[in-house]
Amino acid sequence: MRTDTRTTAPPLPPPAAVPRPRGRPRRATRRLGVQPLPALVLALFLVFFVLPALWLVLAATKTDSQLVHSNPLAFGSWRALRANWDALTDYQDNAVFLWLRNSALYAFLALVITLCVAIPRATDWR
Amino acid sequence: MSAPSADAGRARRPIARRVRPAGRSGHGFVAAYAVLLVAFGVVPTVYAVRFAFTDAGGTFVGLSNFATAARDFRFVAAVEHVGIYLVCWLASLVVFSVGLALLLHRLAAQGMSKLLRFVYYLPGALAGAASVMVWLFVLDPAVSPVGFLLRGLGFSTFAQVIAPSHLPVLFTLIAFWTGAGGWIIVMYGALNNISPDVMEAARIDGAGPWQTAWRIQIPLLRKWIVYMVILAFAGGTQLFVEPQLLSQASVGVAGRDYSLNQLSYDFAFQNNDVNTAAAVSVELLVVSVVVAAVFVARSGFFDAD
Repeated sequence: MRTDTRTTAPPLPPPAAVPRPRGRPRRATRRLGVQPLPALVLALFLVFFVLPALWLVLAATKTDSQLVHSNPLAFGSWRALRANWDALTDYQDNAVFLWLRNSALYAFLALVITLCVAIPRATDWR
Repeated sequence: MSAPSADAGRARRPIARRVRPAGRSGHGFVAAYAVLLVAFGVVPTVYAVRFAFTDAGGTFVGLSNFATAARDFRFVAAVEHVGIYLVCWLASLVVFSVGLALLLHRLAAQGMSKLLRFVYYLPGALAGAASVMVWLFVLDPAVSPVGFLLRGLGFSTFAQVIAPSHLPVLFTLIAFWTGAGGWIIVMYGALNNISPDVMEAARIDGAGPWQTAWRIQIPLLRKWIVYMVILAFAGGTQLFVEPQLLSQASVGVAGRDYSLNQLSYDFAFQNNDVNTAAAVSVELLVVSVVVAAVFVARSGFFDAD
C-alpha cells in the first residue's frame, strides 16, 4: 500500500501531534475538492438523469405542433398546459383521478403488507 | 434466523432454554411471510412447472413443451437478445452505480452530494411503462431534447434510432435511467457502513483515492454488488415492457418478438399454447436461480463477516 509515490498524505506524525480531524470526525476519507474529472462525470450523469424528466415536464406545456417545432427545452405556454390538463381530465370524465386513486391504494396496501410481513420477520425475537 | 444452532444450544444450555419460548413466537411472526411466500411464490411456480410438463389436456408429456419452444424460429434470437442486453445492462450497472457512489461519497460538498443522489434517484419514481414512454420521445430525433446528438450520430428518423442492433444499448439506457439511482443510494449507504477506522488506516498507509476505492471500498461492497447483480439479472431476464411498448410505438418495426418473456406471452395469448409459454418461463426461472446460486456460492454471500 505504500508504493503509491504520488500520494500527498503526510508521513505519520508522533501520536501526540496527530491533529484532531476537523469537521465530521466519522469521515476519515480524504474528500475530493472540485476536481475536473469527477465533476465532469457527475455532471454528465446529472444531465443524463435530469434531461428526459425535464423534457417530460416541459412537454406538458406544449401543443402538438410546439412539441415538434419549438425548442425541445423551451417552455410552451400556460394556455397549452391548461388545455392539456383539460384534455387529460376530460378523458372518460375524470377517469385519471380514479386511476390515481387506484395507484395510491395499490401502493399503500403493498407497503402495508410488506411492512407487516418484513418487520416481524427481520426482528431478532430473543 | 435468530435461533442458535443445535451445537451452540448444547454448549450453552441456560441461554438456549431462555431463548426457546421466544423462538416459538418468532416462528409465528415468520408464518405471515411464509404464508404469502407459499401463496404467491411457491404455488404459482409449482403451477407453472406442472403446465410446462403437461399438454393442453393435462397429460404428462416430458420435455416436449421445451422442445417446441426451442424449435420456434424466434427462440434462439430471443435468447441472444436477452443475453446481449444482460451483458450491457449488468456491466453498466455495476461499473456506473459503484463508480458514481464512490464519487458521490468522496464529494466534499455534502449538500451537493445529497442533491445529486436525489436527482439520480428521481427517474426511478416514474412507473416502469411511463419511463419507457419518455424514452420513446427522447429517442425520436423529431422531438428529442438531444435531437442534435442523435442527428450527429447519423440518425435522422426514429426508425433509424431503433434499428435492431441498437436495441440492447437502448434498453440498457432505459433500465439504467430508471433503476440505477436506487442502486447508487444503496451503494452509498454501504460505503457509509465501512468503518472510518478502516478508511483512516488506509489513508495513513498512504492509499490514494484509487487505491482506497479499489482495495478497500470495492472489496467491502462485494456482497452488495452481488446482491445487486442477482436482482438485476433476474429482472433483466424478464425484459418485457420496454420491447413491448417499443413494438407498439414503432408499429411492429422493432421489438415484436424481442425477448423471451415476449415469446412466452405470445405463446400464451397469440398461439393459445399456455404449456409452451410455461416451459419458457420455467427456463427463465431455472437460469435465474442457477446464476443466483453460483453468485451466492462463489461470493460467500451468507458468510458472516
